[in-house]
Amino acid sequence: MYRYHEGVTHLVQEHYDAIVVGAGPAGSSAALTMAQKGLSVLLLERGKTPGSKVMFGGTIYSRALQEIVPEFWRDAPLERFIVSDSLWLMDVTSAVQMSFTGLDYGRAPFNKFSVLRRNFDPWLAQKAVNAGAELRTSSCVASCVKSGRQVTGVKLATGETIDASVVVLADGVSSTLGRELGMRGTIHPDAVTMYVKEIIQLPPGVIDDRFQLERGEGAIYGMIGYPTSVAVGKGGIWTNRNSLSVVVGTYLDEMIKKRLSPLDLLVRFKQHPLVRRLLAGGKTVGYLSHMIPKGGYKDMPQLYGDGVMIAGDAAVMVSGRHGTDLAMMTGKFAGETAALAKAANDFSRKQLAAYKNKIDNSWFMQDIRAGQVHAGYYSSYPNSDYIISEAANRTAYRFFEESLLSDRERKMYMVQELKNLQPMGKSLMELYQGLMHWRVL
Amino acid sequence: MDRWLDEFSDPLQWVSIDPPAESHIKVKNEKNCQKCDMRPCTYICPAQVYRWDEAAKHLNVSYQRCIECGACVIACPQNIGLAWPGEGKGVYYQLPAELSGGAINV
Repeated sequence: MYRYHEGVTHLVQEHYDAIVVGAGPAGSSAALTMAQKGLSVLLLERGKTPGSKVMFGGTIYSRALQEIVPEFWRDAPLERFIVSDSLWLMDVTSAVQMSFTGLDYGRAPFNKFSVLRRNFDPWLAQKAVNAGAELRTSSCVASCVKSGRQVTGVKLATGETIDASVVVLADGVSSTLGRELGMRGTIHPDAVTMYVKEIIQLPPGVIDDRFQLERGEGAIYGMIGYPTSVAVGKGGIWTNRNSLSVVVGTYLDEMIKKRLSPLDLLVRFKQHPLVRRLLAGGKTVGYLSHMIPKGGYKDMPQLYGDGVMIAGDAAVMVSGRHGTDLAMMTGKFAGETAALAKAANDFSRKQLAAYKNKIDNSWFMQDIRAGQVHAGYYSSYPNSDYIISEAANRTAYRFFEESLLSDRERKMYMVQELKNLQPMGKSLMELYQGLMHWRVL
Repeated sequence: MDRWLDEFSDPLQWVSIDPPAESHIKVKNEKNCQKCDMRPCTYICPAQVYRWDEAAKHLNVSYQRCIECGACVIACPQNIGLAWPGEGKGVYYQLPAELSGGAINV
C-alpha cells in the first residue's frame, strides 16, 4: 500500500521490511546490505544530512569497507591513505617516538584511510539510496513501537509512526532507544572515553613536509603521557588532505575525578612545543566532541530481540582503535540477518539469533573479549601511562646525553633513576600493558 | 568557565547550531545540584553548557550551546535528562568548501 508523504515527491510505503535508525557507518551499511538483497528499507537520520551531527572516527579500514563497498577508493571521499603510524610517549619537553612507515600500504587495496566523517557519511548513505533504500533526514525517532514483545516499527518525535518487520538500531554511543528497550544497561563513566577534536586547515604541501609524506600519503600519530594531564587517555594527530585532526581525550570517569575540562586538555596539548610546530600557521575550522564506548565485552548489550537488532557504537562494538570498521561489519551482519529472516517469514528473536552468531564468530569479537584484560589493568593502575612516559623520556635523555660518565656509570644512573620512579617490575609490566592497550604490540 | 572564555576563544565559533525552540536538557531536581560535591557537568561539558551561579545557588543551562555528545547524562544520570533535538534541530557540522573531499587520485 502506498501513499504520498508530505514534503516528499516520490511514493512512500506505509510498511517497510526494515527501518534503520541512524545513518552513520553501521546504519548505512545495514541499509545498503538489505536494499541490495531486495528488502524495502527506510533509513532514518536525525541530522539535516548524514554526517552533520556528532561525528568522529578519523580512520576507515580498507578491508572492512571493501566488504560493504568493493573498491570503494574509486569514488569515496577519502582524505589520505595511511602509510605511517607513530606512538609518542610524551613528557613536557621531549617525546620518545616509535613509528612504522610502510609504503606498500600506498597501493590497492591499501590499509586504512583518514576521512572526515562530514564528507564520508553522506557518501555511504548515498550508496544505500542507490541500492534502493529510502533516506529520510531531519527525522528523530522518539521510541520503538511494540506489539507485545515484538518491535513493529518506530514513532518519530513528530508523533508519526512507521511500521516495519524489523528495526535496526544504529543510534550511536548513547543509544537512547536501546536503553529504552532494555537491551542496554546504564552506561557508566568508566566505560566511555570522552574526546574533543579540532580540525585545522593547512596547505597539503606543508602537511607533506612536516609529516614526511608524499602526495596522497597520510600519517597518524598517537600520543600518551603529557596530552592527558595525568589522566588515562591519549592525544593524536590525523593527517587529512588539507587539514589535520587534532584529538585529545580520556576516560570520562578520569575526567570527572581529576576535574579535567576536555577543552583545557586540547588547548594544553596544542601548546606542547613538539605539537605546536606541527600545527603552526593552521586555521581552525571545526570543533567536535564525541564519546567512544570502551566498556567492551562486559557492556555488550543484548544484540537482538523480537523484531529488533542493535549495531555499531550502540552495540558497544569498539576494540582498541577499531570502531568505524566494526560498525560497518555489524551493520552488514544485521542486514544479512534481516534478509534471512524475511526469507523465513520470521522476525522473532529465535530467527534473529543468527546475528549474534555472526558476531560471536567474527575476528573482532575475539579481540573485544581479550581487550577486557588490559582495560582492567588500567582501572587498577590509572597512573601507568603517565609513569611509563616519564620513565621513557628520562631514560632517553640520559641515554643520548653527552656526559663525563663511563658507560657503566651511565647505565647505573639510568637504572637508579627508573628505580626512583617505582619498582622496576611494575615499570616493565606497564610498558607491556600500555603497548597492548594502544595496540602497538 | 570565565577563565575558559577569557583565555581561549570560544570554540563554538567553529560549530553551527540551530537550537530547538525549547530546551532539550532538563535538570530533574535543582536541589541535588546544590548538594552536589564536584558538579562535573560544569567542567566535563566540551561546550560549557552548564554554569553554576554560586550567588543564586542555581545551575544555568545554556542548551543552545549543546553539541550533543551525551557526556553530561553519563556523568550525572541521576539529575540530567537529555532528549535529542528533533526536526533536524541542534548541532550540524559544516566544513569549508576546500575541505569538501572528493575521491583520491590512485
